[in-house]
Amino acid sequence: MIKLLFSLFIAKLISRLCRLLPLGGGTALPGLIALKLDSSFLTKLTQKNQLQSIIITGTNGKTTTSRLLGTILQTNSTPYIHNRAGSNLLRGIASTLINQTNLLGQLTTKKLAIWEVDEAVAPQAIKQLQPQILLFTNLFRDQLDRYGEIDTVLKNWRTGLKSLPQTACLIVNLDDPSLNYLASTWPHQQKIITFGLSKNLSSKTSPSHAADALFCPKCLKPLHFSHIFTSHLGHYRCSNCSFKRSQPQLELKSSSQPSSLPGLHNLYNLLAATAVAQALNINQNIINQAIKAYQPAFGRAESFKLAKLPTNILLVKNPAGFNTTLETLKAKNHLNSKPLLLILNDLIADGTDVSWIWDVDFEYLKSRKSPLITSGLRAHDLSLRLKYAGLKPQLIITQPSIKKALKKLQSLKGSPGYILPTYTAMLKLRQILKQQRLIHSTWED
Amino acid sequence: MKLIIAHLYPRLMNIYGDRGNIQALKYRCQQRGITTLINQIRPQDPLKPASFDLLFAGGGQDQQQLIVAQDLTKRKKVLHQASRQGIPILTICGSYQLFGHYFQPFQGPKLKGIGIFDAYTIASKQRKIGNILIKTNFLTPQSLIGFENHSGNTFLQKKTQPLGKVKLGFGNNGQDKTEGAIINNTFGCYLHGSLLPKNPHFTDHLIQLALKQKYGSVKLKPLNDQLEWQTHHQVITRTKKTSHSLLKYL
Repeated sequence: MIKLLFSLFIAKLISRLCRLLPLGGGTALPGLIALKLDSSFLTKLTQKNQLQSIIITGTNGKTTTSRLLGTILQTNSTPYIHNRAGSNLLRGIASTLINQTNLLGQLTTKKLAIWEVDEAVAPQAIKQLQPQILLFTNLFRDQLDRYGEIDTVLKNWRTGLKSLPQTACLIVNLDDPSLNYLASTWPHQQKIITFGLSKNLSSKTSPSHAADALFCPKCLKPLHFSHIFTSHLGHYRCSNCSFKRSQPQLELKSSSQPSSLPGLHNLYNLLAATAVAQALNINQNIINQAIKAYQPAFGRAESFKLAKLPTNILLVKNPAGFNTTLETLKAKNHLNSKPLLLILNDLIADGTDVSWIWDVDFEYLKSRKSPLITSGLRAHDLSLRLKYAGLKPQLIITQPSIKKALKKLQSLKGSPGYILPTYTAMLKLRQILKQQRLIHSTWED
Repeated sequence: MKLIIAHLYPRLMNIYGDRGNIQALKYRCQQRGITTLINQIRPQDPLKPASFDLLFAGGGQDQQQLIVAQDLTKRKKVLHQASRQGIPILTICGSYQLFGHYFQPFQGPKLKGIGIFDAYTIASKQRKIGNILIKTNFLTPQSLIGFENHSGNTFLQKKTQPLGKVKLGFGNNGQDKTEGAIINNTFGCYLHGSLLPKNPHFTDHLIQLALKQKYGSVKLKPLNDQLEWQTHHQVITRTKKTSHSLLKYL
């Protein structure tokens, strides 16, 4: 107890200091220190407050799903806490708790927490937070330099499930073969909620070359897909054993989605948030009402005015997400006609290996007749990728400086414009836009 | 002119964007009016002797490598014959390891390779991740750049030469400064990136070797490679920065 309060006190002090210094952020350091001082900091604080945790993890859709769920809880007048500023490691969760508790470690009215959790630390988070609800959104290849292979991530998740409380509710996307298999290994089958898309929402029957889970997770033989939604998400059955996608409890049949959430991937986010809300016994009318009123998170379909013209920022992190974004723009007929700026960085948060761009279907841009701009620390790699995708070299403008690229973007004709940055490129972009007073929101927005 | 390119295990062994290599070969042939046919070879698919002019195989995950190792032993004869005849073959990461004598994982039995390279690989605790720059003695310019991500340590034995000398990065095993392997016209290495697009001289070398086998000496038409070389040099600069003990933190 004394150890906990001491750690909390020191961490709160550091949190104050972080805010005084002009460093911005400060979402990780206080938590990092608290966990160093008391390794069971999270367990102690959650138990002390009888905090109900919801863990949201997976490769794509964590932030949007969490924010959707947050909006639903707000509409339902349920108080909650959320590590919303993009720090999804244990330290980010600890920092959120540090800021939300008083000096005695008490959360006053809030008994519910939404934790966005990085897929690599999910097992530790499950163990320490003992969540009441655990949601797996999907599993795609992402930052192999950091997470290792997707098989490794799946193996870690299976280990993590062993420490999930028996009373917990497990929610998975059944269209993802890896998650279907993961859920089948959990002994408490009656506490599982599955979701997926109906076959009439599919437009493809063969998976893209970037798809990952093409082999049966049970017997390693090829999977047959009758319908594909995006990447390897679809309706499938094993060519050898009995493994298949069964009927999910929650299946979306038509796509009457709000315009603030374009694209197929957002249908999954909507379903996932709905599944969690239903597990919390929230009235369906409230859920629908909240979804309509939803505002996107930063870098996820955010828009601003650049030289009076509307411009959208769409964060791209991995082949699956990038492909879905390209497909969404293509469906709107915007991909090959509107101003486009692609920004690729190779810092740790982006993934230091840029090989993944060769798994993105840039061939969609082949018929483009107007110029586009590449930028960031690996702008040249991106330009080369576009050239080999069949785009005319004279249409590719390589400008590593994001500031200059932004200026160049203003000279391209058409609206709205689109900027597709990787994670650190988005942070940099936002910093520049803020300096130029084009956007106003901050980290905590 | 026409080249048949066999792509071994395109689905199983393509985790690090290695298909970019196929795109580079295809693009650079097409630009010169050379027709290409990409033959995707999955496990169980037939691969007849003399049915291809160039062969490529990429990297995969551990689980996938198991399936590949089993299938590859059945193709041992065909691949040895192709290698002896001088058909250009490029193998990267996981396939490179299985073109050696064996791969010893952390747990479980050895995976038997097909022994084209006189080399063996042992899993190590240290994962070797980062940009890599090597110096070859058969290309102009001599540099090759890429990104490595492997835990296996590969050791070359007498009959096989390294592809190049490590300038920045880890290479085969992080110890002897060698990277990759060459025997006949069979090449192996740990370079992802994708490797071939930003190393156009190596791509052309492979195409040239394939054409020479099939049509005798052919002079390749030079292409406008401004963007390729800009990228090559930009990545060298970036590699210097990311491998520097202090600069990498900036």
